[in-house]
Amino acid sequence: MKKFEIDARKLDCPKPLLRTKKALAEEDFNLLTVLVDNVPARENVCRFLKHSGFTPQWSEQDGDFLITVQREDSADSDAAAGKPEKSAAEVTSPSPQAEAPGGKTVLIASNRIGLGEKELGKLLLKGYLYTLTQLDEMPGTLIFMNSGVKTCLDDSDSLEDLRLLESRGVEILVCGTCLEFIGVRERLGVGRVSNMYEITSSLHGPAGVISFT
Amino acid sequence: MTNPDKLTTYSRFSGCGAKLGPQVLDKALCGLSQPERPEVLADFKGSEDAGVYRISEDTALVQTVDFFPPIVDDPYLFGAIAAANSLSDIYAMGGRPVSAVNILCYPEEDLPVEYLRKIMEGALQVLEEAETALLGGHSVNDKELKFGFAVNGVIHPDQIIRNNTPRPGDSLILTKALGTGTINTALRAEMASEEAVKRAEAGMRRLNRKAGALLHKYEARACTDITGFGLAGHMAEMALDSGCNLILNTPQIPLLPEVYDYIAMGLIPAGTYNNRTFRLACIKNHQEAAPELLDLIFDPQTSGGLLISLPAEKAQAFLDELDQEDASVIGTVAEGEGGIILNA
Repeated sequence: MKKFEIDARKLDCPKPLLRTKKALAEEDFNLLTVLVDNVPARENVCRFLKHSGFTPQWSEQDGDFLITVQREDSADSDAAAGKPEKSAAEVTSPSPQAEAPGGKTVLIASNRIGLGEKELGKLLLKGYLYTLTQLDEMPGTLIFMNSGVKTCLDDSDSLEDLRLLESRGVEILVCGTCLEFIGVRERLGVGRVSNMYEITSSLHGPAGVISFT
Repeated sequence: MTNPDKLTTYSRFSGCGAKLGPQVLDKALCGLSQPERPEVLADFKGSEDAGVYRISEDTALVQTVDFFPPIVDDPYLFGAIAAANSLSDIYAMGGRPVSAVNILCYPEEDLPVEYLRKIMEGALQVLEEAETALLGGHSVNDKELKFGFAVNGVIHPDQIIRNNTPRPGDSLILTKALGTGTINTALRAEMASEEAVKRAEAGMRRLNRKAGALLHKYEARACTDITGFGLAGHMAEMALDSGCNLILNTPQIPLLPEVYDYIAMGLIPAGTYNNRTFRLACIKNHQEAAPELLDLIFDPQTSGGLLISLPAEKAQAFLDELDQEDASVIGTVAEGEGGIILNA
């Protein structure tokens, strides 16, 4: 277990975030800790780590905050050999090194699965999302684009399933442009409105991506 | 001298983000008073942008002071932005600036005198645009560079436009795009795009002169300029002091490029957190708002636009004559209990 520690106390924003960014890019570690002494720095660093595909956690220590994240793809990590194989051929952009914490990214760019029968396609998507709630290993992020965003509206058949997934920590990103285009932004029932930048970052991030056609 | 071409490394904070926290100021000033003088038409007791003092039947003096650490690396541009920012409070009161004196804290040992020269050139260029005379100034040798002006303006005593007099039914106009604090933070992190920086700089450099000059013509009822407390912070003052509800139509807020992306990445100035802590409760439906939206509307602005409350039927004509593409109607005024309501 390689640990890399950053002491970012007494540094003004955005320096704690910069140190963290540098460490992500240059350091080889399994465990990264960032010590900060104020709430803005804690929030900014956590948000940056999350945006970079990690699952940061923090705890309070004598008035300071210790932020920790784990990375499993340390270059010479013994654990890497024992990792489970990636599942199925649906992985369209295999992760370069390893899974990001929290599992794969799933891109849902339609309100149904498959191009054939429309009603069947909708049932399949509903069934897929329900099945996700029953799995032990959940995806890290669900991205909804194009007519897929309808799945996240307040009258969606899958609303409860998606809310359940969100409450268990699955990040649900809903394309803001798509909501605007279809004119349903005010009816969003679950998930967080996102932008192309964040969605692209997630698709190109370390997590494997599953997408349906 | 570490890196002389990076002016922003000569301060810990940037622009209006360097303000003392609103809680600190409130605590320090709370309960302080001075003898009543009939000539004083506005002083520090309200949350007006500038003080106003009547000197004759038809003339009042509008006074304000503003100075801050570098927000950009280019000295000429920093001088220009500092001047535009200092003049803004006069325009926000409906006044016309006439004269200015300079306030300067300069790291004599660390920065060459040519930099100071450029800062002054940038400032003078803007003062000239504003037809405002520079009368003098005062300097201090200081580790951290700070620069700005005390400005005097004039106004007819009956024509003062306060920030607490919006009326139900009014439209709210914002005259500059939002996000300078976030973009400045991204710039310091060397993560800001050229386009975002360029647009932010152009906005900060621009005087609020034209918007200010149109206030009376279009019967503006209330006005304030958006600076360190962020859009929501300054709206809160307008709402609390008037008892009106301000409805903010969030999709209509003009934005600088990539601001939301930087916010999502955590490139958020510390001032945003102070502003949010202080005024979040003023937003009646803040629980339903996305955290990114709150970070945006509490983003501390440097040399921000004017927030104007004017009769709804005048709004379009005002925007047409102002002819600035980053100005927009962003909301309305309603009867209420002095809060802000976000409307997606």
